Amino acid sequence: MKALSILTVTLLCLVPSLAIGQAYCSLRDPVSAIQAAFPELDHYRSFVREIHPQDRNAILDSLPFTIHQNELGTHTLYAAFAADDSLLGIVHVRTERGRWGLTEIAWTFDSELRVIEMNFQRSRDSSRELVESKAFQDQIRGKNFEELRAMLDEEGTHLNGELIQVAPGAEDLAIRVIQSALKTISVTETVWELKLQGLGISAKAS
Amino acid sequence: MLLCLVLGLSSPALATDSDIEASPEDSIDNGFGDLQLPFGQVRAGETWKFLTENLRWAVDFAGRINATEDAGYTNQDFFGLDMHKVVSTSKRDIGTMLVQLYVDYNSDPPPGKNDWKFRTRLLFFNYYLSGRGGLNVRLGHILVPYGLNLPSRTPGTLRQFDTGANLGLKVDWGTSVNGVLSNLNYEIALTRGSGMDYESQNDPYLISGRVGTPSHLPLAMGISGLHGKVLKNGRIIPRTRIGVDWRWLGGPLDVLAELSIGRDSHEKDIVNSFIDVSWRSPMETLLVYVQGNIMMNRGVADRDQSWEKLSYLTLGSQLALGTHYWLSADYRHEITNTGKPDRVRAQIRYRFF
Repeated sequence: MKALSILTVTLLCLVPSLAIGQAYCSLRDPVSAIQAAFPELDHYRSFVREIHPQDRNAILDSLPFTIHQNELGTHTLYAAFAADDSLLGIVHVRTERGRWGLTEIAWTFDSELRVIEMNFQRSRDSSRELVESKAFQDQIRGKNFEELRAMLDEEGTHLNGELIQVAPGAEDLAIRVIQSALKTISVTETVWELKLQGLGISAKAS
Repeated sequence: MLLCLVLGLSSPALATDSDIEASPEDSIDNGFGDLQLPFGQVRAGETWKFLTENLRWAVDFAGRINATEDAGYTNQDFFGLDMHKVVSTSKRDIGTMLVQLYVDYNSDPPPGKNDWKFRTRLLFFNYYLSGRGGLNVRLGHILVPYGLNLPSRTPGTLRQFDTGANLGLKVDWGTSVNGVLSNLNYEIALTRGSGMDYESQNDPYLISGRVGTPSHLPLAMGISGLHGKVLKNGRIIPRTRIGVDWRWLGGPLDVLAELSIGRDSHEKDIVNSFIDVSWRSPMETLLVYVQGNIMMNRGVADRDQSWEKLSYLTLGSQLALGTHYWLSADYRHEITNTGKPDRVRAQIRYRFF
């Protein structure tokens, strides 16, 4: 009992290294986000793909900042359709490092991979509401990769105040959200390229 | 049998072979020619894609040590397969199949039980009746929709909420209707009432359900109800519960709480409360949590008597080591004075995929 108690305390104090995975029963489709982004939604379709190390290299080439090794793995792209089977857009959920744990963002794009809107699936950040507000969403809506890229500085780590205004206190989260948009577009184009072509979406816009 | 059910249920949506189109990157000739299925034909070269597309799977191993104060050690080992498949036509998803099959070893099994046991943790198909996700039907071995048990976030982990202690079971065989609407999530189930194993002696049953606000918001609430006859250790227990749960994610701490009231065996009033406060590192590699659990019961005929109370405090941690290994440990101490021994557990888990 004593030895096990020591082991327990040791485990409680260990320094972490990499991310935690979960059993598949915890997987959830971003149904609320899909419904909210596309009022005309009739049905949607999943496309599961694995992001390989070579994909990561291609993605890194398009971004001014790095992405974590843990962002590899298996991910799902959702295509949303109207009742007549016409494509409304696509939804891709990305997970980002947050101040108090992981932040999940559901991105919705049109057929030109321009932003329709973003919704937090999980965020513990106090400035969440400011970034999810209409004022912020209006500034990123309709923007493609290049236009979003211009909202950040050369290194992609600070906002370009001439192109985007953010409420005081929400700057850090806004930067992470725009980085996430760039990453999401790049990952989508790189990994789902053939599938996007099949859906009539012009990949490699960036 | 489940696969046949899945295929049968898919017939309204999966109409023609042209629906199952292989994209260039997916097409692999299976060498067996065309395949006839209840819903139509899958062409040669598309069968493999139909089975493997949108499929996730992992091999899941875990070793656990349990030590109870002054009672020595026991150990449990789990060897299993975790599989998740979205079944789709070319234009829509028609359902999700989840398979979690395990072989468990318990060095100190309950009387009359073997130390090795095959277990079906979860095994269900969730059929999307509506394409928007508003109305689905789940069939198989499912989570009992009550309180913090949904959404599932504690499979195979030491960290558990109070579902088992409160309800007597966490999973059950049966069916449910479920869905996500614009301002609420819901799931209502009719199940066997026998828990992990399907047993029908003395006709157990369970009706359970939860309706909650959207879980992606920082504050989510749910109302749950449960009524039925639960089969537990060969004994039927009539059980009724009404519960409310809260989940708050804001800043450094997550707070989950659940309060249930109800009655067992028509003769005991029950009040159970549970709280879980957790902190995680920015990449969620380290999770530390504290849980409090207060369980109270009192005879229906003894309302002038005080409640019998049993209360625990649990301290736990979960740590990721690399992308495949997880270490976790917890320590439970009784706050009340019924003489329950302290308990320490440690687990190492390996998921290969």
